[in-house]
Amino acid sequence: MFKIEKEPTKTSLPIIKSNYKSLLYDEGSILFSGRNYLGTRILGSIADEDYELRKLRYFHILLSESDYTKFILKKTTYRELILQNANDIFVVDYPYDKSSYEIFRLNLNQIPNEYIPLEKSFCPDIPQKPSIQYSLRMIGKLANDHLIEITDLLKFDQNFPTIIRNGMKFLNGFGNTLTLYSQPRVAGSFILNYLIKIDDEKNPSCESDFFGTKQNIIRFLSTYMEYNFTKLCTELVRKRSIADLDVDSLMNEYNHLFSDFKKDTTSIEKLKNDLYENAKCIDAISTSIGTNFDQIEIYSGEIENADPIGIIDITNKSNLSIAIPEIESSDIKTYEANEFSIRIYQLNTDSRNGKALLKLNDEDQKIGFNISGKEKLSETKYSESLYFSQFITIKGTLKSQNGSYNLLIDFE
Amino acid sequence: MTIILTELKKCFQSLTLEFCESVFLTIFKDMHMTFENLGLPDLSILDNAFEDTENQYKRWSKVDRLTESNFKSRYEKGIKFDGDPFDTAHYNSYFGISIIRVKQDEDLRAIIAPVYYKYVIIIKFVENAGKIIASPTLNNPEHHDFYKQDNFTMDLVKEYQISCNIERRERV
Repeated sequence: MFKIEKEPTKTSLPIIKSNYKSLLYDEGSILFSGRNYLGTRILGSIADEDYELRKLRYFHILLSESDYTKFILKKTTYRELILQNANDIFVVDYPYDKSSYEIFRLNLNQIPNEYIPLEKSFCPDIPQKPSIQYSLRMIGKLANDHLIEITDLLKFDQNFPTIIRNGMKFLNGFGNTLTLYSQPRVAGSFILNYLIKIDDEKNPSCESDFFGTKQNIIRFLSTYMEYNFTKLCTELVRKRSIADLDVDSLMNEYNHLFSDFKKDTTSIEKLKNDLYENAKCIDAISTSIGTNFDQIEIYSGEIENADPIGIIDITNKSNLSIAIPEIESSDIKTYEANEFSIRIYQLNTDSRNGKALLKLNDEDQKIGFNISGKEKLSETKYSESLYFSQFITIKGTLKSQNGSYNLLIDFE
Repeated sequence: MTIILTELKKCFQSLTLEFCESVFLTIFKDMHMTFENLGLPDLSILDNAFEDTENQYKRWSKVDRLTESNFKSRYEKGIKFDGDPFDTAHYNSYFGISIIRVKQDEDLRAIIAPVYYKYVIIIKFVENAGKIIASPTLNNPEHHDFYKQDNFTMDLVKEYQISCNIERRERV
């Protein structure tokens, strides 16, 4: 162990008092995190061992929540964080039985260079515990005064549940329904809490989960949420296309959990379209980044014990605001054929809008439509199709965008 | 033992004493090794452990040689357990010696703690050294725990190659 020419400091600031978590271990913890008596985040690692003095030496640094989030999400390295805290590196010496400790507050120059972690010291992969609870924490600006603008709040309450519901939509067929609850808001900086409840549609009162389906649904949703807040933005910015989204990690998890229920290519297409809708939700949520708050952190589980699963910051915001309009403009397809076969199942004769099944490439596709003109629609072939559930041939222009179809019917 | 062997010989009049001895040793082979000193609360986890004298494993050291203290578990040293007691894999590792089957090259631990994990020593075990359990982690699929048998000595580990784990290029 290197010699420290300094008296120990009388402080317990770098000592972990709660939320201890091993991030990397073999026989003992190599890299770990926790909170001190003030609740401040601490990141620490083993540095050395003295076999004769029977002592272990650790490095501890105090971190802000946002630096810790960046580390967990591999946006910064342990080495960078040590260099950033160059004047406040705590060396903690413990005897083997950890009955006491000695703390030395050192600066970087007092630590031999060979002890400093190397450049690739990114946070290891940490398995996330699947949870039915999700939290959003806004950090900076207004949020630091524990305030949120009502318009922002409405955007969160509208868009965040959509993302979870889209995940659940992919799992339809398991006979479960999902209800999303909002839990009491917490100041610090500003935290929104959501709770998912999954009920068995067939037995709503039945709490048991004999086949583990509910547990698997929660596990898949967890992976789905992680994908949305870590990979999705990068994927969209890189590929600039919905069809090219790499969803292998999601599909692998799905196939692993529900090996008996394989998905076909149509479902994968739908998944990609839903992910794109999620990206638009994230874009809507991030509108006030830079004005009302600096960033949003997403947590799975109780926020005090959990590590963030994702972050939305100014970079994500600007990347999405460029990528989405580009995808929107490139993804509109117009079908030239002007004769289509449709069966109307919903028609509003005042607004002239409705929903129908369209025969397209031998498949029935659900579409929305609008009928041109001002003529009455009652007692026409359109109302006939509705009442008698018949396919009719119509003329019009079909447009598709991001997997949804819209037909402009020429009245005749 | 001689009484048992004589009895066995009586039973199998036509068989030789040597044959009976080899049968006996095969049946009771595992009785050579006991694991009472490990401190493991649940010894039944060793039911699925195996001996391996074929493969090479890596072990770390802060000095460039294999020492006895390098082959002491944290429990033996009296170091307080610092992990999650509900994580059984982590808890069991506390009573064993971490080794990595030689397949994986990059090692995150040497990146995080370059002095503590400075040297890598390639080793092979001799027969009756102890038992091994595969205990892969998310970051280390080749991680194994080695559990020493009670009469373990360093003679039961063959040292093959020692190298510096890290070539430090960066300067602070």
